[in-house]
Amino acid sequence: MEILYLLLPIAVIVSIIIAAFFLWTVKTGQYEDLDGEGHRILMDDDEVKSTVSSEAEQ
Amino acid sequence: MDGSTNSFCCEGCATVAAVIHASGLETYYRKRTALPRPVDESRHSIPLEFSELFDDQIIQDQFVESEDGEICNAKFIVQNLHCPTCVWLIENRLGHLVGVSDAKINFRTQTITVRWQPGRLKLSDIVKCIQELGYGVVPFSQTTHSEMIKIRHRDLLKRLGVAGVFGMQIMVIAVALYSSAGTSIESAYEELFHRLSLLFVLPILFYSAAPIFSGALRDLKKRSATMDVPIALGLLIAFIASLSATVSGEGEVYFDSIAMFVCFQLIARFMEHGAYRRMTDRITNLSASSPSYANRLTDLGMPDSVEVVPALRLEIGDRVVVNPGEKIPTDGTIESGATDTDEAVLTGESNVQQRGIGDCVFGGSINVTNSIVVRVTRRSSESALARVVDLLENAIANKPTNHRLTDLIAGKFSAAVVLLAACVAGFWMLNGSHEWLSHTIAVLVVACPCALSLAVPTALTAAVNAAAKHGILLAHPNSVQALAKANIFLFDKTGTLTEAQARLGHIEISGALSRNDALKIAGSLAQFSDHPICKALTDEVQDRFVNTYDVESKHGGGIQGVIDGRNYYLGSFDYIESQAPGVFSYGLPDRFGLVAYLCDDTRGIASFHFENTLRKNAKPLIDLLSESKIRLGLLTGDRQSEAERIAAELGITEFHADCSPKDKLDIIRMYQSHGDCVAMVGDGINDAPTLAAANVSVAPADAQHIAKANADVLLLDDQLDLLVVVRNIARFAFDVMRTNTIWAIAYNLIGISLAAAGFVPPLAAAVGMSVSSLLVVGNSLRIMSFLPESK
Repeated sequence: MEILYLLLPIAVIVSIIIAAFFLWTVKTGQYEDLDGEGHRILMDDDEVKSTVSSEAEQ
Repeated sequence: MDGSTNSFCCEGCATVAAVIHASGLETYYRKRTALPRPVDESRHSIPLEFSELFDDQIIQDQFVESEDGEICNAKFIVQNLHCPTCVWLIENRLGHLVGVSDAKINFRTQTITVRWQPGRLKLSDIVKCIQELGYGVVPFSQTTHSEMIKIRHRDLLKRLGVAGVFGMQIMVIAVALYSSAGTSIESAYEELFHRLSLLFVLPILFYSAAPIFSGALRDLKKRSATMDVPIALGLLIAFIASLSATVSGEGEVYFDSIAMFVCFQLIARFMEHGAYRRMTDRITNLSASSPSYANRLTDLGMPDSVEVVPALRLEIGDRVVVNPGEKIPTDGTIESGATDTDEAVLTGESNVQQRGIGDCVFGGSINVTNSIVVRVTRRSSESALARVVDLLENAIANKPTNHRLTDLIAGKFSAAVVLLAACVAGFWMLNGSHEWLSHTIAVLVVACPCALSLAVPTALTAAVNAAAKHGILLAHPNSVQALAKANIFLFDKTGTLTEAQARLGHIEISGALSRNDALKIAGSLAQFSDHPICKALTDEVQDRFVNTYDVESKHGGGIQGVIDGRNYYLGSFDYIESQAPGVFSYGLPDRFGLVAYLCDDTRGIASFHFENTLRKNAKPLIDLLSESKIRLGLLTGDRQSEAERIAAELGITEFHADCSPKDKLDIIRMYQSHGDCVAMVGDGINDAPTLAAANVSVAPADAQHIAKANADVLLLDDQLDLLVVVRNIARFAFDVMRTNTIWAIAYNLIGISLAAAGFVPPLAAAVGMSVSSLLVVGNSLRIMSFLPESK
């Protein structure tokens, strides 16, 4: 059970890292628009360029 | 497009499609997941040709922020956003503009933040760009209120996250400790577990629970106990007891109870605040309005030289042209022209007013029939409309607060608990028990009112969500109680119970012509006027018009025209008397001022009677409400006779006619001073102060923006019977709150008596607290599945 003396401090450190990371995500406003971002990632800009260039070819 | 031919429903759609195509953004059509609704013209988005207004400094001051001189940022509400593809479309279109450094839409709040360089691009060009895509744009002026809500939301989220992360660690340790209870756990490990729990509980107590403590402190200073006081007391005692147990190695620790307790509290507060924030955002958007503008005549003697300026820029003595259908920008006198104005926004009076040269017109009212030139007599900040807004702000400041049910209990509750704890300590001490301290602490920890503090907020949040599902926005969760308790509903008449536009009622025929022919002739003449009554006539005739020649219309009087070689006259009684004296021998009294007469040179033909028709659902609504033994009242700016008729038709007994906004306010205060809980239903600017003063206020879907901004309850559909639905939801929620509260108090009483007898170990305290809290939450969730049919 001596392993607890190693594991528990690790748990403390990991918890602190998780909490700090969470605080950072809130501070940078990542929870402000939960609907929009999910869709935005599906909209890639490449397609615009390809449409524009195919127009140019015509 | 895309190699295929497409047809469009209207010119507008075709233009939009052309713009989209020209920008190479056709992906929009492939990716969109929701079709746009046809544009609603009634929304006061600023017309395309007036977007230059956005370049005016006085307008920009309200919503543009300058960042380091080079770049400015502005926030707009984008109307008609339907699906995320719209977001993509607008962001890409603006991204292609030279001078725009960043454009980002928040889909949840339906707002766009644009950062651009004013040196290279005008704001009006950006606005035009969005408008060309078919979206409405309204400036978003960040109020301190919405900013505060946002900050608080983030703050709660942070505290909740921290409590969650560290709380989980404490729970893991607690499970290890509980499972070893009874068996021999090496005291060294037990000590390690306790110390670690203590370490983890520190951020929860001093960061996550900080608002609870500061709230309790504030309440103690004000000597008014709310729920925060007993909660803070419980937390503090549990912590001190656990701390001393950890240090001394004797006694019980309650770290898991503390962690769970704070988590439950924060989740409830976060949910409550989240529901409140969603509603506030939606209402801010619904009630936002474009800057009002004016067509100012630039130079004396130079006709047609008109410039568009913001209404705020108008000075006394300026001359402005107001076209039919436009809003009059501010108070003034008519210099040339004669027209009818719709002043319902200020007075609630539904009939249009005749205004001629020299007459006063008021800002905010609508010019109905003819173009006029108005000389400004008051700046827009001092207009009659601005005074109503002042009245409104005053009413908001004095709005009666709805005390929370639990806060009323809280004070007595904490006093009783402290007293009880003292008794318990005394009893065990007198009996010479060593464990008097641990028993007393157990009492205090069990007495911590977790379930009780969740009883009301969870029910309110569930009610807000249930209402939103039925198309009702509850702006202030606390209004649920007032709505459930309201014993008198007061209604505004025009626009709330009756249609804004008069309809043709019955026709009296003198016998010279058939009813149908008379109607046809009247309708054909009526085509040539914009007067609302004439519109009602033309609507009735629709396309059965007959050819009419030599039409002559006299303002505010009537119309003359030739049909089949005969002269016909349509107009008011005075007009008919002046054109063909004596044709109407019966000379009907001017019933409600809404009668039009038709005659030819020698005979009176018919009289048309118009009336304000009830909105559909108005009658069923009133019936339903009076069935549930609610008193009903009518407040209106209309004349006594009209109020009487509508009240009789609906079966409303208490009515007040000829009310100015101030009178309405006094009437509400009168009711309140008699101890009544007043619900007010109204839609106009003239109702806004009344809405703010009432215990709870309701605005229908098509209400004026200022009325919406101040209503507690907003019906999103144009259906008045939603009022009954929301009332039932509120009553149901109120019932749930009551059972929740009774149950939570019962749990606490049982827990306390067991603890006083010394039967409650920490594990039982923790389990009991969670189970009681979950029961309360489960009970509240029943509101979410509320069906409007159930009473």
